[in-house]
Amino acid sequence: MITTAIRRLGDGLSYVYAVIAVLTFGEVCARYFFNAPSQWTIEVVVMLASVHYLMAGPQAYATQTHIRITVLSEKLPLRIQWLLSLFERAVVAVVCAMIGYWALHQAMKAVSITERTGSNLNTPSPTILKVVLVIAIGLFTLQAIVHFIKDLRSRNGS
Amino acid sequence: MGPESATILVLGFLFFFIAIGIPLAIATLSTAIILGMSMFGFNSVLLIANRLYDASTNYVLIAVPLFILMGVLMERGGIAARLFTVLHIWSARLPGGMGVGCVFAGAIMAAMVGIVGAEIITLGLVAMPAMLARGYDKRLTLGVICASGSLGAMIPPSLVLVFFGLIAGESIAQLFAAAFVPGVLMALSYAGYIVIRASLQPSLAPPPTREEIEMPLGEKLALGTGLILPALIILGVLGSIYFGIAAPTEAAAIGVAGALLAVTISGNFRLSDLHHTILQTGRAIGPVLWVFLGANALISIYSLSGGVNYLAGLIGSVDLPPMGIILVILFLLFLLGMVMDWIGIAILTMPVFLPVVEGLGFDPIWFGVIFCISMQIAYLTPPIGASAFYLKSVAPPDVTLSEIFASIWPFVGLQLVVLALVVAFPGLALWLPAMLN
Repeated sequence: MITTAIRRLGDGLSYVYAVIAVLTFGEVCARYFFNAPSQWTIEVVVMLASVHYLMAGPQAYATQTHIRITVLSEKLPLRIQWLLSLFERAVVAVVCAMIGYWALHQAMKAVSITERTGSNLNTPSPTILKVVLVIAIGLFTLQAIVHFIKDLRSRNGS
Repeated sequence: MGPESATILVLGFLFFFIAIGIPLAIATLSTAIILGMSMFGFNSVLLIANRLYDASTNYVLIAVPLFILMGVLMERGGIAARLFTVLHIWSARLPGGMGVGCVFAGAIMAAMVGIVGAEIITLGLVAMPAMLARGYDKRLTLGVICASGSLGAMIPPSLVLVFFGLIAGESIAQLFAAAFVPGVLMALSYAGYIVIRASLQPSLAPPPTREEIEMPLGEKLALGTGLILPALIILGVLGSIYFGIAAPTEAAAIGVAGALLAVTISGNFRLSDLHHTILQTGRAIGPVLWVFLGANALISIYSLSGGVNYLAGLIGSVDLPPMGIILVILFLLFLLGMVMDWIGIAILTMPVFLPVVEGLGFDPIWFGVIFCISMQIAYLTPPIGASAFYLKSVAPPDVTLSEIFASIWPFVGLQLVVLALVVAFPGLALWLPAMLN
């Protein structure tokens, strides 16, 4: 259920790219055809894209599509592969938990002062993205634990 | 801990994590944490969290998903399949004409799609059955498809070039312009090889049917009318970048709008396809972007430890002439390409290699092109030549990975020849950017 939810969340957020394409294309048209460039497009599209980049990490881990080199590990006996897979899940969980701790620290600081971009538009994008980073890393950790439990139940990788 | 020990620690842990199959993104992040904690304590993980946030807010990076979106639109709209049909009929009179058509379809798709995986899978689905049914030699067919599909790593708007530009802080427009001539040269060398092989051994590439050879010129031209709009899109995207009308991100958005128009006009594209296109784009982002984010964090901590300067000094102090050092770097890239993904190589090695290259007086744009050719070689060479795995995923069950890897060597040879030419004659890469300037 958690895996499906993370996958669907990533899929749903993919629509930001349709919005980004429309806004960016619109910006080019506004600049060349109407001589009226906006002051907000770049800031908004960067924020939207960044939200998906960060959430795409747990999404790819849920679907097991992260880039990995399996040439060596695939040649090992099944039981060793199973142990390595458990080790991998544990490494991912620990690494993400550690980063998550400091990402939370960073986000709390940003929220306390409502960190803003400082541009003309001055959106609270840094605050939003730092909070999104905490959520993304949290989901990454959760997904690693889910994979770990699932792998553990499969016993010898069969 | 000094930079020497930091370097050993980074190399040791990184290769260990990669070897046991840990995702590249996590392997780099884990190594960054171990190095950071060994040198600066637990607080250094804050820098990693900060780098993750910081690296994800780069405006130029948005060109990557938009180029992927453009490519997926073109692929789903059936434009790639039509391209192969048209080009192999146009080149029917040449020996090995279908193979030549496949190469040119690969080159044009590279300019439209720019994603090696999508290209090889499309050619594998469209060209491979047609070539095998015609009686083409299996090994030649597999090699042609892998090599043609991997042109996407080289011909603009290649994602390899976009990332190189981001890491090196160089103009992506200049890089695209510089890669154009070597990319065309590469495609021509493949086509030339097929023509020569087919002339010398006609049994490898049987001639086309009478219908194809005798097709009237008007009919042949009519076949190509559906490709006019995609061709205009390529010109629009690359032209707007080359001539400074739009930044790469904006050009990619223009490409998306054009591709959507083209596939809508083609009539093969439904609203549900648009939904799947967007999902496919989103799913393609995570694996690439997180390697970028992870490697970015690792290189930040490694730089702080003094490792980058140490390694750059080490390579720079090798008692070799400047070109000798470039050859050493290329050899290292070749070795790394056998065991690592291109994006990891780019982010981890460029901060080390670029200062050395610039210190030796070489143009970083030229170096970007030879890096790109090296990564194209990496796409083909075992044990992790990604193109072989992409092709295997759509090949008939009787095609083995060993057969695919055995088929690529003539093309790797051609890539090495083009690489040697660009290294020996930098003008091949630098001529077009200078002209456009």
